[in-house]
Amino acid sequence: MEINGSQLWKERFQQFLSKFLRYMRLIGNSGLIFSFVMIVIFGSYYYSLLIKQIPETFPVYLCIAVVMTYVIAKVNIRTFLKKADVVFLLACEERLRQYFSLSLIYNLAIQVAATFVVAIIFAPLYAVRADESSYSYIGVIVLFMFSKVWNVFVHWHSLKLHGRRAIVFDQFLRIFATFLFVYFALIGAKFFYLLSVAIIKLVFLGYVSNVLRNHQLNWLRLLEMEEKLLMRFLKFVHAFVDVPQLSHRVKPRRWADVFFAFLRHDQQKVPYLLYLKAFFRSGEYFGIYVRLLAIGFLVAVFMPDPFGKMIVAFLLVYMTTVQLFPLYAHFFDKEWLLLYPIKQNAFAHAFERTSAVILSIEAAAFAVGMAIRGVSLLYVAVWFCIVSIFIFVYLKRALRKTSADHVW
Amino acid sequence: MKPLLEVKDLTGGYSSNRPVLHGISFHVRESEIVGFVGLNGAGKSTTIKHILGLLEPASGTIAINGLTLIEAPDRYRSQFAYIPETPELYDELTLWEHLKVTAMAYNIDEKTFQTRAERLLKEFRMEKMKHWFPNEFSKGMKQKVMIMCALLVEPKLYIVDEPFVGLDPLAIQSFLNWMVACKKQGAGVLMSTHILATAEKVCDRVIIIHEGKIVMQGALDELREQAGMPAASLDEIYVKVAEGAFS
Repeated sequence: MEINGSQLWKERFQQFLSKFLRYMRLIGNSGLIFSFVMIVIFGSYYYSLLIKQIPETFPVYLCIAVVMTYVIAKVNIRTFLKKADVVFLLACEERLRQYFSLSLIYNLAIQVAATFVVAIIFAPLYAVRADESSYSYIGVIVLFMFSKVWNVFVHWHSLKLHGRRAIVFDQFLRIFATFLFVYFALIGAKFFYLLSVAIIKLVFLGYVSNVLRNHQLNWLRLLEMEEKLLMRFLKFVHAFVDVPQLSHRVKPRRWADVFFAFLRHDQQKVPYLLYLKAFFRSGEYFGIYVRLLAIGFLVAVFMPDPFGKMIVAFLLVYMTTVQLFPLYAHFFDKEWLLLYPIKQNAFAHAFERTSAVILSIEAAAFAVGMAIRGVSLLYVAVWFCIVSIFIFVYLKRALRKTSADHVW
Repeated sequence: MKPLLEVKDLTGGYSSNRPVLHGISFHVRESEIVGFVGLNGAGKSTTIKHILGLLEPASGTIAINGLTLIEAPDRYRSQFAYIPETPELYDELTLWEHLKVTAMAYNIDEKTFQTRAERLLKEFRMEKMKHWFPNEFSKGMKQKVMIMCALLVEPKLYIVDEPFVGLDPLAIQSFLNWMVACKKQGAGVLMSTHILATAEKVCDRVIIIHEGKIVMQGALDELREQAGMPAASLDEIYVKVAEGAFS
C-alpha cells in the first residue's frame, strides 16, 4: 500500500475531464455552438475591415505587446487538489513530487497553447506594420511561448512564498520582464538585446528555484487558487446551463429592495414576496432574464428586417418564459410552506401574476426597441397583443400541467 | 526528558509583515495532554497551521522529536496526526476508503490497517456505516471519520483542533478514553478547545493564548497560583484572561 503520485494525478485529472466534457456537451446542446460560430465568422470579417482602416499613427506594436504581456504573464496553476488533501496527504508531500510535476506539465501545455492561439489572432495585425527589419512572426511566436514557459516556472516556484509583499514582487517582476521581452521581439530589436533579456530571465529562474528549494509547498495557496479557477469555470458554464454547485448561491442585490416596498404587510402577499425575492436574489433567474432582455433589445433595434425583428423578439420572450417557469417550484422542497395558513392555490396565482408582469416588461422593452427603428406603431401594437396572449396562455397551461403533478 | 513538540519564539501568521503570533514558546512532552485555549481569533488555528507546516514562521523554530520540517518534510509530518476543526472529507470516498487512504499516506501495512480499522469502527459505533459516502453522514459522523483516521495512524503526537463540536456524548467519551489510552502508551496531545470543563478534566497542562501571546501555561494548580485565584476553575481563570487582566 503506497501513495502513487502519478496515478493519483491521473485519477484527479480524469475526474475533472469527465466533468468538463459533460458540461461542454450541455453547452453544445444549448445551441450556443451556432452562435459561437457566427461570432467567429462576423468577428473575423470585421477584424479584416478594421485592419485595413488602421491609421498610420496607431501604436500597433504597443497594443499587441500589452495584450500579449497580459496573456503571457497571467499564470494560473491548476493542481486538482481537494480540501481534504491538507489533512490526508500532507505527510506525503515528497512522495507526491510526481503529482505536482504532472500538474505543472498540464498547466504548461494548456497555457502555451493558449498563448499560441492568441498570438495567431494577432498575425494579420503584425503583418500590417512588419517590414524587412522585422522578425518572421513564427519566430516571434516562439519567443512568446518561451516567455510563457518562463513565467509558469517562476510563478510555480514563487508559489512557495508567503505573504503579500512577496506575491506582489513576483507579479511585478514577471510583468515587467515579459513586457520588455515581448516588445523587443515585436519591434525587431537586435538579436543581442533579446538574447540578453532571455539570459537574465533564465539566470533569475535559476536563482529563484535555488533559493526556494528548501521551502515547502504552500498548500493553502494552491488550494485557494484551485478553488478560484474551478469556480470561474463553473461560473462560465453557469452562463449557459444550470450548475448545481452554484444554483444555491444567493446574491443580495440590495437595489432591488425598492420593489419589495410596494408589497403590503399582508398574509395574501406572502407568495408574492417569496417569488419576487427568489427572482431577484437566487442567482438563477434574474441574470438570465437581464441577458435575454439585453440581447432582445439590441435585436429589436438593430436587426435590419422588420419581420425578422418581430420573430426573433418573440422567440426571445418565449425563451425567457421557459427559463423563468422553474421559479414556480422554487420553494416546493420547503415543507413548512404547507404549514402556512394560506390557500393552497395562492402560490400558483401569485406566480402567474408575478411572471406575467416580469415578462410583459420584457415584451414592452422589445416593443419600444422595434418602434425606435423600422417597425410601424400598428405592427408593434399587434405584436405586443399577440405576445401578451401567448404569455397568458402559456402560463395557464403550464401551471395546470405542473399543479396536477404536485400536491399543490 | 526531551519534549515531543517544541515551539520556540514563534512569530508568524499569514503574512510576515503583519504577524498574528508574537514570539510564542511552549512544548508538549510524551505522555501528556496539553489543552490549548484562547478566544476566537487569539491565534490557536494559526499556531496549529505553523506546526502542520502550512505556514512559514517569520522567526522561531518548531521541532517534533528534535526534527524540523525543513530537514525532512515527510518524516516530520509522519510523526503527527491532525484532526481539523471542520471535517474535510473526499465526496467520492466511503468511510472505509478514507481509512485506507490514511493508511497508505502514512505507510501503514495492510494487515495492521485492517486490525486497527475494525477496532476503531467498533469503538465509534460506525460498523454499519463502513461503506457510506460522506453526503450520507451527519456533521458528528463526519467528525468521527476525521477522528478515526487520525487514531488509525497511532502517531507520537496528536494535534487536535476543537474536536467536540457535533459529537454525541458517547463519541466524546470514546474519543477521550482513546486519548487517555494513547497518552498512557507515550503519545502527546495538543488539543485546542473551548469546552473548558472537559479540558480541565483531561488535560495535564493548559496553555492560554491571548492576542497572539501566551499569557499563562501550566497545570491547573500552577495557573491558579499565577492568576492569584486559589479556588478558581479553568473557566473563571480564562474569563479573567479574556478580559485582559494579565496582558
